[in-house]
Amino acid sequence: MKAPTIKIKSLMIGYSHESPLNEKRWDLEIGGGTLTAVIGPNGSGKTSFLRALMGAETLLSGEVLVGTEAESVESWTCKKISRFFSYLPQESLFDSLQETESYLKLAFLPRQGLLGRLSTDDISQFDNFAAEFELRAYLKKRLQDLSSGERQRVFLGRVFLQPSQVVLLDEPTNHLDPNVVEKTWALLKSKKNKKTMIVATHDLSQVERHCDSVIVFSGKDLLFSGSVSEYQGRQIKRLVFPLTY
Amino acid sequence: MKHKPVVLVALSLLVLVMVPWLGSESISFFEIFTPGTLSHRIFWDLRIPRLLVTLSLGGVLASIGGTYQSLFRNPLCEPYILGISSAVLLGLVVAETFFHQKIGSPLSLLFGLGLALLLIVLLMAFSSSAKASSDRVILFGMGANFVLSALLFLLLSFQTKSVGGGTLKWFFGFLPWLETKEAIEFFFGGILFLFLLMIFSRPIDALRLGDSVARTLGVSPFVTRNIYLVFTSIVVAITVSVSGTIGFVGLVIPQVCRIVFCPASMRCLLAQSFLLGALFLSVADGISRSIVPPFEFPVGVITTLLGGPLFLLTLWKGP
Repeated sequence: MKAPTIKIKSLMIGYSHESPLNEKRWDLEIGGGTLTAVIGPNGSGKTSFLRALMGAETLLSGEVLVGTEAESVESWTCKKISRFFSYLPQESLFDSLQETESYLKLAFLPRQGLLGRLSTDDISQFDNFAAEFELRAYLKKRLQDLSSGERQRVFLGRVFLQPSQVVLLDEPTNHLDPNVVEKTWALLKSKKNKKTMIVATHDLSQVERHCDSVIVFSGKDLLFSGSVSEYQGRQIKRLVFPLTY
Repeated sequence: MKHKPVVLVALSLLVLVMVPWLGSESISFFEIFTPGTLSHRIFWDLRIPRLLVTLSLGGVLASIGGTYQSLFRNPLCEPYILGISSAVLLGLVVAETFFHQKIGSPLSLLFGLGLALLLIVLLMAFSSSAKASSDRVILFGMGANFVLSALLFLLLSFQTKSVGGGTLKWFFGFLPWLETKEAIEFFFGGILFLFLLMIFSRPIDALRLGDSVARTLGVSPFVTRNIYLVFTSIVVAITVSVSGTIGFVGLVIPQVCRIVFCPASMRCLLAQSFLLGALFLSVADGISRSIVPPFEFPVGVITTLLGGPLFLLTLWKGP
């Protein structure tokens, strides 16, 4: 199955209808199976935008249409949301006493029955995934005993283990050292095509090297939405972040 | 570490065998099998029912504590801390003072439950407001608890004649002497409650990752939280109407379970908390009845004196 395209029509985002984050309504499209970066200064609405995409309360008005689904996301049930979206928040909440393995297996929760049993397929998929994602060494450790880099990898693992079609990542490389940042981006790149990936980030150089398209917010406006080459050609970066070179 | 289950089972058996022998009257082992003797009556009509009630109560308190802690993502959450227990108690006392309803009667339970649900609605409304974090929800609950306790004291100082023997014991928490039949019902009621909680516990696992992630795991935070809060409040109302507010078990036992056993899911946590809570309260009860017989210390005082240092030690030495 092809990863779904996301069509956004006259979107308003924010935390209250009286003071939405954007002045003009936004219309844009995110290609299926692409790696798309969302960049912009702090407070420009990156997080609200990601959450609006999955129909959370920051979607004030407008439509978000995913793939061939006829209904906009805000009318979806949580069950349906879970089949399409997996999400990594900027600061992941977690139970520090929980073991990595049971944390990761929560990714299967959407398709578990009442008793929460895992099918043998799921278990073998889990084992393969843990090996591929290099998580085997952490499985029996509590989350609090991992370094913040290791933990972030576990959180990312949970996101990719979930059988979703759209992955929303909110600043996934915060707190990570440069090596791990590089590895994370390589990983994201390797996972696209199968999933539509939208990443809010401040890693400007990685965006140019790894992403397919870029969405740029500045203050109250959608400054740019298009391919990485166009973004580079028009030197958008200097418009949003004038102090960077 | 592999021996933990074995130790737990051994400990349970030890407690179950020991506790019925503790108390003001010493009873003979051989006589308890001879109908008509005093020992037989004390053992089967008083101590065994008492043990059943205690086991059930301890288990229910601990598993509710575990549920609250996960629902609110905060280890401090518990009906007592959030003021839910006090709300129930206030409702019961209001019903007793102004409407002459015996504590535990259906109407008084309705008063207690009503007040508890009112507080829960307030808590939920507060927690969905923009400035709420889970810490502030706790603070809100604690604030409510102070107000409700003050109201309770106010009410009690009006009816001083019953202070001491009467309503005051509800504050400290105590264990009732129930008829054998009632005790058995209470025991199986507790077990039934545990199973219901366990069967439907998967959504709570998702809530621990935060509301926005829970939605992407197919769980509606709003619906889940409300269903669990209403369901558990009903049970809190029943426990408070039976035993007053026993504050310590629900706070500490689940936390100790999480530190010691590292449960893989909410379901495991509930089962472990229930078992450990049941044992803990039984031991505390045994002690409260045998320090200065025939005087019975309020069991809440013993749980705190016994569990407090244990809890601090686990925090200090644990992972």
